[in-house]
Amino acid sequence: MNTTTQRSIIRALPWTVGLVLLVGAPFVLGLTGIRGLMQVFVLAVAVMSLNLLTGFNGQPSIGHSAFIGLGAYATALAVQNYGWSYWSALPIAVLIAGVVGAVAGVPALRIRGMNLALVTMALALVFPQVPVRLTEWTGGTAGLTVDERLRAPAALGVADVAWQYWVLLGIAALAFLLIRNVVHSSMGRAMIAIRDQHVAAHTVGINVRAVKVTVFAGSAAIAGVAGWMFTVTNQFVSPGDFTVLVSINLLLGMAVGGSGTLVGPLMGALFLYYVPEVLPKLGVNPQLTPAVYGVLLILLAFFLPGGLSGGLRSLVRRLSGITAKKGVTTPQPTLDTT
Amino acid sequence: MTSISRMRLFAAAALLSLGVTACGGSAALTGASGAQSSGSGDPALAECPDNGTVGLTDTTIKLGVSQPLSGPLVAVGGGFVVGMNAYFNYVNGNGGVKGPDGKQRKIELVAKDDQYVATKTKANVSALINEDKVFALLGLFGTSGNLAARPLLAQECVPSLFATSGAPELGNPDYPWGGPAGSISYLLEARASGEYLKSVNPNAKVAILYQDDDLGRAYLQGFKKGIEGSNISIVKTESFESTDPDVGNQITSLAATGADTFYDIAIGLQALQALNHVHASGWKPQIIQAAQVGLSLLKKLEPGAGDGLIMAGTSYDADDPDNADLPGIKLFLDWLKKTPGGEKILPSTATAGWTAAMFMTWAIENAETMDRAGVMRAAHNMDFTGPNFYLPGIKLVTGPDDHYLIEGVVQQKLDRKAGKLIPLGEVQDFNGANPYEKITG
Repeated sequence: MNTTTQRSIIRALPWTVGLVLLVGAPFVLGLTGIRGLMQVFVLAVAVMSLNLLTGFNGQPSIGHSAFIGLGAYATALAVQNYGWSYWSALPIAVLIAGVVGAVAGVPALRIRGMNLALVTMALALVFPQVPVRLTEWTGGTAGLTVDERLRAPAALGVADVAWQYWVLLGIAALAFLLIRNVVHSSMGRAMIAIRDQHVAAHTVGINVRAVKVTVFAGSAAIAGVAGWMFTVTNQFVSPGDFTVLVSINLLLGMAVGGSGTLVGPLMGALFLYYVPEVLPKLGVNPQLTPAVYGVLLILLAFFLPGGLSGGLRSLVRRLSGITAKKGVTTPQPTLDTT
Repeated sequence: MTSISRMRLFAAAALLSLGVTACGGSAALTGASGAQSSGSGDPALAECPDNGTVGLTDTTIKLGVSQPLSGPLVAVGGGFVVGMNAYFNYVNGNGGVKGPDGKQRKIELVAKDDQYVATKTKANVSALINEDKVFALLGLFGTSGNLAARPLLAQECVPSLFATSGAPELGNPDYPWGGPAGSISYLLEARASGEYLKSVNPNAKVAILYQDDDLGRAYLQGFKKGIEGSNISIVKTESFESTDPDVGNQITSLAATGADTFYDIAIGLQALQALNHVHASGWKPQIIQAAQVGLSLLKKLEPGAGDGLIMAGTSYDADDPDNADLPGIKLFLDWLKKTPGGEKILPSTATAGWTAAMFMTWAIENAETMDRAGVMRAAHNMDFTGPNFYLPGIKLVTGPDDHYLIEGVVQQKLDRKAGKLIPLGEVQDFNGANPYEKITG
């Protein structure tokens, strides 16, 4: 075995161990643990979708809660009101979120930075009102319960929740691989070039408009997948689950994990789910939880500006003595302010 | 080469995982199987797992609650849990609750924070059932949270009783594990207001302001039902969103109709805002207020605003010193003082928690069998007569086909000068005449 192969195996080892542990989790964890991990997968895909747009392409969005909500509501309505299966609702969820994302991306051709963030925020503010307006159809503020659950194939002989877990894990893994491959492709290089040097990217022949709208649509479509996963996990949707606070939380998750990195969204999702879960168990008064959460975020911003993934990367480099950068390494602007 | 090696490693991992799949099993993997051996033939128990006595020991019974303990509604959720703790302290101080098996058990309460987010409520319910292993849930907060948790409760066959919501949907007999609610249904309260108006002004012309959501629509449907068969006409309705900063335009539009009656279907501060606008506009209709504002809040109206408004009431005001010696309230105030956090809050914020705990204790004491199904059935066959806050004449009764506990109101008039709500007559009793009705508006 040559050195390159050895190094490749060493690099793949943590991923492999992680995957084995995650695939095997239903054999070890109880229902609460499994359902918690399912929420993490939903958050991970949601943060990944935002990271694709904001982290890699420099287009800030505070409207991702709306795209997730579109996917979630499309799934819930298709399954509950029209008797579709979850699987047939998936492409619809992706399509609707993607199309709305493409339309929402058009203003991005003219405006950038904080102004674009404000435009997308309008989307996040308006979205929760839509189900309320269509109460007869959506259940309004009381929400819509989906009676049917994603069922495991009878031949497998496993519980539905374990099957749902593996499906969500598989989709999260696919989303990760998709984004990884896109980022490593010529499209990915174009995205990063636009983020870092907008004018220069245009000068060297990148079709900035096409890339921006495509990324917006793709990011929204992946957020739609997160919405589908949300409905599979919760069998319930309500306007309160898709408020602008959700978008802000996703931005926090991205910043904490490390924007413009591939691993960052996974860490951000773990942070977003487990920190509020763990704090009350450590005896922190629930009323103080948001304050502790805020202090942790400030500390992270001060001491780990590259996010958790940046910190981890530095640690690994220090431990292994490797100084050369490998793979996709980028600066970490969270908002395009150019 | 490198990518092939990596692929081999992943393939090996996948095969290893599949191998494990073939061998083992856990709660998450096998899920709920095996029917609960109730022997009752009750369809609600047909697909229940065999978990009817989880959360019970010979000396303790564990109960769970999910309320907003942080976020904007922390005052509501915090007061609720304090009230609940106060009642359970009282029960435990007297040795505990005695179930049908003759054993006396101390009550342990596990409270979780949902920040008034429905999916968090559902996650809390899942954790309370599977991790904390509670016997039953009580007082779950909010309509959406209760509806989100309902399929889970049905699947796990865990009773969730006396919810903090007036949504008529919580009386849906198709979901016996999630009910009855601990509040009067919005639809019934509005129906009672409509019937009252019919009796005092059968030719009224009514202008209505309503919150455009499930709560507002339930009120609207109930009111229309109440005025059926009369000459009362609804001359105009205006809606608003709960997020609207002001309802002044809607009031201007309603005032222009010159209607002799105004029905304010609004909650909390928005209700106050509407009442202040009505007063400022010079319009002087008879106001009917949806019972979504407490007396303590009504006292904050601008001088003269809201005076003489009519509002349906179900219980005594626990903040009023004149009521402090009533048996139910005296007991409550005594134990509230002894409970951590009880001295810092307005007593009225803790009454709902106290009553939910009181009803739950009754259901345990009156169950035919000491298991989840037994307590659920007891909650659907209630006839509570112990000391309580409810106004005299209001029956606290449920039945197998009547999943609403509180089905009576007394219309009350606000006297701003006295700072009191004055009863206008006898109880309007709808017990047994209030079937489940879907909100269609």
